[in-house]
This record gives sequence, C-alpha cells and structure tokens, in this order.
Amino acid sequence: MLRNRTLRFKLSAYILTGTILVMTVLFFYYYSVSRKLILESARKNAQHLTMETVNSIENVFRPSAKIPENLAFVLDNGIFDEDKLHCLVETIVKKNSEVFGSTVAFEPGAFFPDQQRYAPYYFKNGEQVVESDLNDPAYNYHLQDWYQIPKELDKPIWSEPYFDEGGGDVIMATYSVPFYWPVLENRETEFRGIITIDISLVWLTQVFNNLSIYETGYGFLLSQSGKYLVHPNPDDIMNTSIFDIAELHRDQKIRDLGRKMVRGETGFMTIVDPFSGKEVFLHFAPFPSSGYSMGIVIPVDELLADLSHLNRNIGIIGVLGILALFGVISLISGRITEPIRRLSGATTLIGQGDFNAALPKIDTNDEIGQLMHSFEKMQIALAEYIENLKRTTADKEKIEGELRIAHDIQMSIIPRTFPPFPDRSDVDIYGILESAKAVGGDLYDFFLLDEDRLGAAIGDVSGKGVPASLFMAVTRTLLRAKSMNMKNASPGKIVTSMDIDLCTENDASMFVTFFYFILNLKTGELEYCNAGHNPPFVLDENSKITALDTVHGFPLGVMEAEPYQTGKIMIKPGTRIVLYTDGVTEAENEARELFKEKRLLDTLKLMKDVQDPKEITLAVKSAVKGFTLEAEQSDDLTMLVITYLGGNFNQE
Amino acid sequence: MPLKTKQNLLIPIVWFCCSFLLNAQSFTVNKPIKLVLHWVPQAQFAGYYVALEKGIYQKFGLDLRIITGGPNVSVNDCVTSGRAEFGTYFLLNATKLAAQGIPLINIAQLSRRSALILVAKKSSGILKPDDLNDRKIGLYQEEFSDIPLAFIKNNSLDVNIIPIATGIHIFLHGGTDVTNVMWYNEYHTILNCGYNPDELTTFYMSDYGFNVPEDGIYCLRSTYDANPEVCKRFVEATMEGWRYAFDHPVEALDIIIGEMKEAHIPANLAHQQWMLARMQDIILPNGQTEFTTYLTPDAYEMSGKILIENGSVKTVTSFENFYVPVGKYAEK
Repeated sequence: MLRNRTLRFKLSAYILTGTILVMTVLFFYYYSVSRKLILESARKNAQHLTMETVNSIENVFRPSAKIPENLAFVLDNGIFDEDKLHCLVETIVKKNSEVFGSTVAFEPGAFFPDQQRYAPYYFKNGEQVVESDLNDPAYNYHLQDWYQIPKELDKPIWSEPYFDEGGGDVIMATYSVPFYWPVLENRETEFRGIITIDISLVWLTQVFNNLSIYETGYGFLLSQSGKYLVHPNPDDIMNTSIFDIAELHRDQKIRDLGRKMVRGETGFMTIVDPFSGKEVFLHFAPFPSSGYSMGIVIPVDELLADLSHLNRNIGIIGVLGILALFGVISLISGRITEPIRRLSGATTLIGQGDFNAALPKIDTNDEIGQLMHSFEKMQIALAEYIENLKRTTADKEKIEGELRIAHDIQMSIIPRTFPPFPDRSDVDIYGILESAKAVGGDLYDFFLLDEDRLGAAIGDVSGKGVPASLFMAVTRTLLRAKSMNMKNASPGKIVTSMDIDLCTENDASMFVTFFYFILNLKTGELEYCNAGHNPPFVLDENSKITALDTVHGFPLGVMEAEPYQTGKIMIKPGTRIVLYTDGVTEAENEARELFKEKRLLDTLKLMKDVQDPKEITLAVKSAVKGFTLEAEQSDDLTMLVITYLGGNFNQE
Repeated sequence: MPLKTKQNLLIPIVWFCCSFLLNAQSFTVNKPIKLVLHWVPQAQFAGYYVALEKGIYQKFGLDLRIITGGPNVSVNDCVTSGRAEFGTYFLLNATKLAAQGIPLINIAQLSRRSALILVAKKSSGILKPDDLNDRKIGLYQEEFSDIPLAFIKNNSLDVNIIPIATGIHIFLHGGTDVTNVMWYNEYHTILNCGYNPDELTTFYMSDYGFNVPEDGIYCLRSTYDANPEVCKRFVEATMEGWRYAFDHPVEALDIIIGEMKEAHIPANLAHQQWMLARMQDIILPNGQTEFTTYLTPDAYEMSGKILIENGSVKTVTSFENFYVPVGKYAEK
C-alpha cells in the first residue's frame, strides 16, 4: 500500500501512527485510572453524605422514639388513673414540638373492664392541643396496623408513612410501643395496649432538599415497603414504590436495588435512572430505627464532567500536537528528500543523455552528500566513457565504411550480371556470393576463353575479412591473367601456375581451395582441376546427380608441389554443374548443427529437372536459410551453377 | 378480533334502531340509570369506566352514571333503596343477600374464576396446606374470609385467625404468617414491596375446590321486570367496554388513572396495569377470546354450599330465582 508513496508520506505515516498509538494507550490508561479515582472518591463522598444524612435524621427519630418508650415503662408499672393518663398523653403532645399526636390505646377491657375500646388521643390543632377519642366501632383501632403490628410482633415499630387528612394532609409516621400488665404471680407480663406518637415527616423533605449533590443529583427516601417518601418527582411520593418503577421500566436492576434497600442493606450501584434516563451512581443505606432507606443519586456525566472537560482539552491538544508533528516531519523529510528529488531529476536528465546536467549542490557531508559525490564521480566517468565510446564508434564507422567500399570493390571484380551471355543459347550461368562479413574470401569467376570454351572457377580463401578478400582478389587476378596468357593450357596447368605464384612470398601463409574447369561448349568436353575444394555436383541430362569428387592436390598457396592434374568428363546438353563453397555445407543453425552435403543433395534432387541455374541457386540458398534461420552466418555463402545447353539442345 | 368488535357494535345499533321504531313507548332513552361499584375506582372496574368514557353506553341508548364505591358506600343499600339500578357484587356476597330475602338477581357473571389467594412467605416454612397448622392467618372482612375459612375447615387446619381491616403490612412485618389477598390486587402489592413470586407460597382457592367467581352485575328483580331491554343493553354495553379496555390497555389505564385522581385516590400505574391484565385473565380465562356472562349453576351451588356450611344462611334461593341470563353473552 505504501510502496508507491513518497518518502515524506511514509515517514509521516509511520511516525504519526506510532505516536498516535502511544498517545492513545497513554490516554486510555490515564482515563481509566482517573475515572476509577473519581468514582472511588464519589463513592466515598456519597457514602459520607448518606451516613451524615442518616445520622441527622436518626437524631430526630431516636429521641422521639424515647418518648413512648419511656411512657410504656411507666405504664408497665401500672397506671389506672384516667386523669393521670390523660395528663401524661397531653403533656407529651404539648412538650414535644415534633410530636403531632399521641395515644395510649388499650386492649378490650384493659382500662375499664366493661369498655371494648379505650384510647385517649391528643393531637395538635393549630396552636391548641385537643383531645379526641378513637373509640369508634367503624374505625376499630384494634385492627389498625399501628396497633396490630406491634401487638403481633411484640415490639415497637415505626409505621409505614401515611397522609394524615386530619393533620393538614402531611406525611406522618407513627411510632407504636406495646406495653404490658405486670402479672405478679409468675413474674410474666401480658399485653395491655399500644402507646403511639405521630410525627410529621415534612422536615425529611427539607433535609433532602438541602442536600447539594452536583448539578442534578438528588437524594430519595423509601419506606419499609419501598414506597417513595422523598423524591424529586412529587407524583411518586407516597404513591409509587421503587418496585412499581422497576416494573414500568422493566428494569430488573432497579428491582434488585429496591430489594436490597428494603432489606436494610448498604451499598453502591450503577443504574440507569428511570427519571432522567441517565446513568447514575447510587449509594444507599438504611435508617436503623425506622427501617426506611435512603439513596444518594449522582449522574455519572456530572461526576465525570471535569474529566470530560479535561479529555476534550487533551483531545484538542493531542490533535494540534499531531498536526504540529506532521508539519515538523514534513519539513524534515522534505529537507532530507529535497536533494534526493533534485538528484533524481538530474539523473533522469543524465539518463536521457544530458551528461552535463547540473547535479544539485549539497553542502552537507552526510549520507546524502556522499551519495551526491558518488553521483558526481559517476557522472564524470560516464561522460568520459561516452566520449571514448563516441570516438571508438566514429573509428569503427570509418572502418566499416572502408570495408563497405572493399566489399563493393570485391563484388565488382566478380561477374554479377546474369545472364552473363544473353546472346548465347548454349550455356546459362547464375552465381551468388554472400559474405559473412563485409568482405569475404570466397570467389567465383567465369569467362569465355574463346568462342567455344567457357572457363569457370570457384574458390575459398582461408580466413576471412580484408586479408582474405585481398588474397581472393589476387587469386582471381592470377586466374584471369593465366587463363588469358595460356589460352590452350589445361586447367591443371593453369592451377599449377597460379599455385606457384601464390606460394611466392606468401608471408601470411594464406591459401585458397580452388576448383577450375574449362567446358567446351561445342563438344561438351569438360576439363577440370580441383585444388582441395569441395567436389561440385553434376546433374546430368537424365537428372542423375554425381559428384566430381576427384581432388587433384592441396589448396593453392600451401606449398609448391607436384603439378596439378586435369580431370576430364563429357557432358551432354542439359547437364548442370553446381559449384559451391563450404559456406553451404557447413552453414550452422542455432543448435550448431551443420547443413551438410546430404541436405544439399536433397535440395538438388528436388531441382533435378530444373534447367534454370538461378532457380537452382536460389533453391539451395533458401534451403540453407531455412536451416540456419536466425543463426548468424558463419561463413561466406557462394554458389555458381552452370547449365550446359549445348548447340544441339539449342537447336531443338 | 377488530372485525368481531365491529360486528358486535353493529348488531346492537341495528337492533336498537329497529326496536326504537317498533317499540318506542316501552322505555325512555334519556332517563338516567345508575350503577354502583363495590369499591373505589381501579382497573377492576375498567370495563364500566371505559364504556362510559368512550360513549359506549350512550351508543346503546343509555345515560349511565357511576356511583363510586368505597369503604363508606354500601352497594346493597344503594341497590335496595333504588339509588342505583345496578350494582356489582361478589357472587358469595350476593348469594348471602339473596338468601336473606333481598330480591337480588344476577344478570351477568363477569368473573369466571376465583381470584382469592392465601399467600405465605416461603421463608416461614409454609409450602403446603398442612404447614398452616398453628400459624397466624390474617383474614379480611367476611366476604373475603368465607372461602379461606371453608378452605381451613376442609383441610382440617388448626390455625390462629387474626382479623385484619386492611393492608398487607402486618403480613410483610411478620405479624401474620399467611394472609388472604386478591390475585389482581394485594398479591401485586406484595410483589412490589420487594418479594419475588418464587419467594412466596400461594394457595389459589380455585385450585382447592373453591372456585367461586367474584364480580357480577346485579339488580333487583323488579328493575329487570320493568325494563329487561335496558338490562340487556347495559350488560352488552358493559362487555363492549371490557372489550375495548382489553384491546386498548394503555388508553384504558389512562381513563382509570384519571378516575382515581378525580376521586383523590393514589393512582399507581404499575399496579393498575397489573390489575387490568389479571382482570383479563379472570374475565377471559385460559386465553379465551369470547366473553360469557353466564353464571354456571355449579358456581352458584358452591357459593351456597359454603354459606350454608359456615352457618351464614340456612338455605339459598333457587338458581332460577337468582340468575337471569341477559344479553347475547349469556349463552351457556
């Protein structure tokens, strides 16, 4: 992905990714630790606040509870005087500001033996303390919770809070304390009735309202059965229980919380507050005396507001830091890569051939500077090399030009006009000479010695190139000269004579294989001499192919030896004589296989009925080319084909 | 279901139009009729309040007023004195009153099963009826206690009965080991004081051979004889009201809560929601979809038997004298 990006991009990507990674890890570590610390501190604060509130409220409940408890102690010892009892109850209501009402309610017949119900009740009515009697059969106080529960449980109890319609529709709670007969006979006691005090719980709301818990945090109070006594939502007070809320919101966690609270447990929980829909922390604790339970609710977002604020700032600083870092990296990587980019531009120019392109100037001696110096050296070396190359190439071109001229000269000294004797019908000739190099050592020649005799030769000088071509020119000149001077001499004699001349002062030790024949066009007599050359093929008038395989001696120029002999055969019109050099039979293909005589023979067999020497020549040539294909031509390819048509043939 | 409701609406309308034309002199449409309920507004009476609020009574040609019940209202006084044409009673209570000579007739038995439960905390070790021996059983007033007492007698239990006026707090505090509650009412209050159902042992009276259904609509025989048509329309309109309440519980609860607030009664939505759902279980038990207001002779017989056995009455009036099938839901 990064492969095709610039160095600057890569550098930025790697460094920034690494930095962001480290920063992220650091951030989350710091965040989780801070969050934990804040929550822990909030938990402690909430716990502290809860306990403080519990204590301050208990400080009201406990002393209030003492009042009926003390009265019970008095009554346990037996009071049977009605006035005294009334006075006691009235005093309790009068003397205790927090007490709204009080009664001493007796079991049937427990005060007046003939009275089913007896319960003098004193309560505050404005500034006055007034008396009322609870002896109402429809009310039947013996069946009321405040009477029945402590009686059945045999212990004092705070009632569920209730709205007192008579007391101005305020929330009240009643503390009921059972008292007993002293049964002197067996030192046991017998239940005699219940003493109660009613206290208003309005001040509780005040206590909770005065709690300062962040922005929207609040405290709430549950009764023993889970009913809300204090809550920010007035509709729920004294009407809804925490379990109702859990049911309406289908929230098991809230129900669990409620169960813990009504059981009097203390704890800390995270819930979604059904009233605000926010995640909140909640600490709860019971009131030991009444069995009520309170909770402190702290919205998490407010708790973590400072942290969130800090996070936002850190986030902004982080983003700015990353941007700054990006800038610095860009700058540095730009500084580093700038010379490289300029160098790259310069080298592109150099690559395009501008060796004098200016390299960027680098003052530093760092890696980039060293690279630049290396490039400078390379540029100089390259320029020199190219200069040399230019010179060499110019020289070579000159030589090649001369060689081309040599080739042209060489070619001009062998007959290349076909047909050579357009006015003669007794013979047709075609030849090719394709040099492996610009100039070659092969030669062929033919000429009329007189009206009836045709002389023709083929040769192959050892070696190649200019020396070979010069030797070839000498050979050809000698052939022409000797043939003209010794018009009636046999080929053997001419070849012998040439050999003598070529051997003289042959310091280069060059030699030439040579085949020369003289054909009497009138008689068909063919005299020939072969000085170490490939035996030519003769395709007679019946398409029979034979090789003139008599060799009369070494190639010319090797040594002056015995005179060369002359062979003689008679040929009929229609006979074709195929002369060739080893450039044909030893042509190599890419697998370094040779063309060989067999393939030549196979080609000639295909051409056995063809009279046209050109057609035969070109057929062989194309066979050779078809064999060698792309392989470089290793030797001169030379052929000369003479078709003897003869006088008679012509006449026909 | 909605299709059926429409049909149910259509038939009385068509019928009403026809009968109005043919029989116009037999009753007066605009004469107000009154219904007295046997307790304060709550979802137990959703059908009546919804039918009134949604104009269903009006649609049936009835101008109905509801007299709110409560601790200070005696349904029977209202009905016998003629202050209300119709009243709701528990079957057992009505059986007793009829046996005492009040010419009360049942014209629709809405409740199909008993909602009475004896409930105990499992933590108190009560798991089966035998465990109730020597325990304190808190029992509400007579009409609620007849059946639990029959249950106690039937199971030969030796228990300590604590009469209680109201509430479940004495039970929650452990002042009683067992208490009688209504499935649709106090049972839910116990759950929403933090007790889970699996922490409670429940003895459904219906499971112990005392399946005496409760709520029914009653009137004096003379009322019925004078205006059978009005009775029929009242019953059918009421059932339409229940149909609407069950089909639209949110709206029905809105209506109920509104009535409660108007009557200055603490309105607890969760509790009313529970109550409405249980009323559906009681009026349409076992997933039934069709209403029936037919009182089975078996239920009446059992009701009478309980009263005779506990000495409340010597004999009960005959089934035919007690029950008159009224309206299209009264088929067996």
